Amino acid sequence: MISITLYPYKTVCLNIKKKKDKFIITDKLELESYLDAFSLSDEDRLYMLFSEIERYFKEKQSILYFVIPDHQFRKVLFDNYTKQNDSAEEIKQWISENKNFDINLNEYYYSLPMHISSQSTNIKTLYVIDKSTVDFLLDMIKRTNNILVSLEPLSYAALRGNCDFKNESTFIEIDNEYTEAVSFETNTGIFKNTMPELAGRTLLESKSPEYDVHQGIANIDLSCRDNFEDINGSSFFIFADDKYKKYLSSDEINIRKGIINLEAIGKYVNSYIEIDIDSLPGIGTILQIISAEDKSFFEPKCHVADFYSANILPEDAISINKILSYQLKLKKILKISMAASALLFALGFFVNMIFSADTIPQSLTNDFKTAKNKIAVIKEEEDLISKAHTESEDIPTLLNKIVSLKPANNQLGLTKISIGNKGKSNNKNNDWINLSVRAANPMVCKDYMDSLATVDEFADVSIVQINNNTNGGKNAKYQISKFGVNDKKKGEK
Amino acid sequence: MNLFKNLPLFINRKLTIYIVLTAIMCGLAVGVWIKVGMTYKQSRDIKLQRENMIATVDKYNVLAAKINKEAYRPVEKTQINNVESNIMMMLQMNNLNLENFKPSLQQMNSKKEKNDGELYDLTFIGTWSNTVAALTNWHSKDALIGIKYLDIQPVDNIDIPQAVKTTIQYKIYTKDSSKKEDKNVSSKNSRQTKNT
Repeated sequence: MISITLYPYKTVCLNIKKKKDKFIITDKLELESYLDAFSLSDEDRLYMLFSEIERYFKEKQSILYFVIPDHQFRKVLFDNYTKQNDSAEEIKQWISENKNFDINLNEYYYSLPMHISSQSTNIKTLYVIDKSTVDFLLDMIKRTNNILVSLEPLSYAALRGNCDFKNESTFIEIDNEYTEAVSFETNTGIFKNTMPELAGRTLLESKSPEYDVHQGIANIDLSCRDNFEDINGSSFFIFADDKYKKYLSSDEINIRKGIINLEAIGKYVNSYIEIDIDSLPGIGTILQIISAEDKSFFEPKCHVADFYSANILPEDAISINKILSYQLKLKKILKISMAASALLFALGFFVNMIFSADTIPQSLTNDFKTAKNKIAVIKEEEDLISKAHTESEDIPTLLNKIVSLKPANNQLGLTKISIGNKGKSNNKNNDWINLSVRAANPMVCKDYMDSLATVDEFADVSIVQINNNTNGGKNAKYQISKFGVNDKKKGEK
Repeated sequence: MNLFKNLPLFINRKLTIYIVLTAIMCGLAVGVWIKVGMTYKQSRDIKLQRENMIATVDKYNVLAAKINKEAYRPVEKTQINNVESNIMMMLQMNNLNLENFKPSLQQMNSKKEKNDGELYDLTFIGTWSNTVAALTNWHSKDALIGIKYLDIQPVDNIDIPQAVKTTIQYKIYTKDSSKKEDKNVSSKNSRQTKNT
C-alpha cells in the first residue's frame, strides 16, 4: 500500500506493508507538490506523479490511499440527523432535503466521518467534494493500472495517525491563499475554522505577522472555548511550508505545539523511517483499516462522538477497488507461488539429475559377474586344499625327520615304515606310524626312540618290541601316535 | 461487498492465466519431487547393490590372492592323465620299478570320495635311497596330491640289492569349475587379480 499526502508545498508518499496485525513503513518518498495537479485535474502532472511513484517503489500496480488538505473539500457541514436509521437511502434523502446544506448529490460526493449523539442532539458531520475532481482522479488511477482505495481529508487522517484521542488537538494547514484549522475537542468533536488572516501570503505581506498569528490563535480558542476540557486550549499540529513556519514559532505556539504520540503509534506501526508531522496523515489514512475493524481504536474522551472513515470515494468505486485490491493481492500470492514452484521444480530437477547419475560402472558389473561365477570355484579350491591338509599325511616332512634323526655311522638301519592307516581317517590314533629298525646295540634303539620323541608332530613314541635277529643284532619295532584335533601340541600350554 | 456481483471483474483473463500457470508450476514441482523420491530410492538401492558388488569382488580378490599363493592346487579332471604320466616319469627317473597301479577300491565303494578327486593305490620297488628321494619330492608340477597311506617293506629282489617295496595310497584332488561358472559370462575382469 502507498499513502500519498498532497500538501500545498510537497507530496509525501509512504510505502506501507501489512504484516499480521501491524503495519510496516518500509520507505518514504518526498516529491514536489502535486496538489494543483489534483485540484486542476492536470492529466500530465498526475501521470508524472504516478510514474515517479512506480519508478521509486518499483511496483507496476499499487494500492493507493490519498490524503488531501481539508481546503480541497467544498464544504464541511453538520446538522441534526432527522432520520430513523443510517441506511444509505435515508442518509441521501436527509442530505438532499436539508436546506442548510444546499447540496446537489449529482455534483458532489460526501462522507460522514463523525456522528454526535446524545439525548438532546443527533448530529452528523458531512464532508463534501466535487464529483468531477474525484472522478478524474479515479479515471487517471485506473489508466495507470493502480487502485485507489481511499481519499480522506488531511486533518482527519492526521488525528487518526497520531493515535491520540485523549488530548485536544488543532491541525493547522497553511497555504498561500488560505489557512484551515481543524480542532478536535473532547466534548463535542471536530471544529473547522477558515482563517484568511493566517494565509501564507497574508502573513508575508503583513506589517505585524506576529500579531496576526496571535489573533488567529485567539480566534481558534474563541470558537472552541466552550468545548475545551484542557484549560490551556488544544495542542497545535502545523502543516506549513518552511517559509511560513518562522511566523509560527512564537513562544505562545511553541508551548502548545503538539507531540507526536510515538508510543501509541508503535502499537500499530513499525517504521524504518523517522515519523515526522508530515508523515502523520499518510499513516493515519492507512490506520482506517484497523479503526474499521476495531471499534476500541479511537478510545476518545469525547463520549458523545463516534468516528468513522472519512473516505469520500463513492460506494461503487470503493467496492470495485476493494475487489481489485484483493485481485492484486491474489496476483502477488500467485506470482510468489509460481516463483516458489519454479524454484522447487528447478531444484527438484537438479536433485533428480544428481540421483539419476548414480549408476553402477560397467567395469564393476563385469567384475562382479566374473567374481560371482568364479568365487564358488575358488572357494571349492580353498576347501579342497584345506581338506588335503587334513586327510593326507605330510610324507616328505615325516620321512625327512625319521631319516635325519637316525644315529650316525649306520648304527641303526630302517627296515619297515608305514605311515597312516589305509581306509581310515588320519585323526588321532596310536599306531599312526610303525617303524621297524635293525641295530647292533639295544641302547642305540633306545636313543633313537628318545630322538623321535622330540619331534613336534609325534604325540607319543614307544618301542613295542625288541628281539634278536639272525645277524646277532637287535630288531626293534616302534609305534608313534598322533595328536588328536583338540590335543595340545608340544610346547603349548 | 458485492464479490459475486463483481466476480467477472475479479476473475479476469490475466488472473486466469496466473492461476493456470501457478497450477501447472505447482503440479510440475510436485511431480518432479515425487520423481526425486523415486529416483532417491533407486539411487539408494543402486548404492547398496554397488557396495555388495564391491564387497563380493573384494572377497573374490582376497580369496584369489590367497589361492594363488598356494604351491599345489586341485587340477581339472581332464588333467588327471597328465598328472599320472608325470608320476610315472618321476618313478622312472628315480629308478623305481612300478609293480602295481590301480584306482583305489576304497573310492570305487565310496560315492563321496569321487567328488573331489581320484584315489589310487600304487606299488613300486627300488632302493631305499631312491624310494626316500621319490617320496620326499612327491609331486606333479602344481597338482594337489595328498598321500593318505605309506608302507615300506624290505623285499627280496635279485636285480636290486636291499630292495624295498613301497605301497602308497594317494589322491589327486580335482575341481569341477565347468559346472559352476556361468557359460554366458565372457567379459574380462579388470579388478580381479591373477587366478587359475
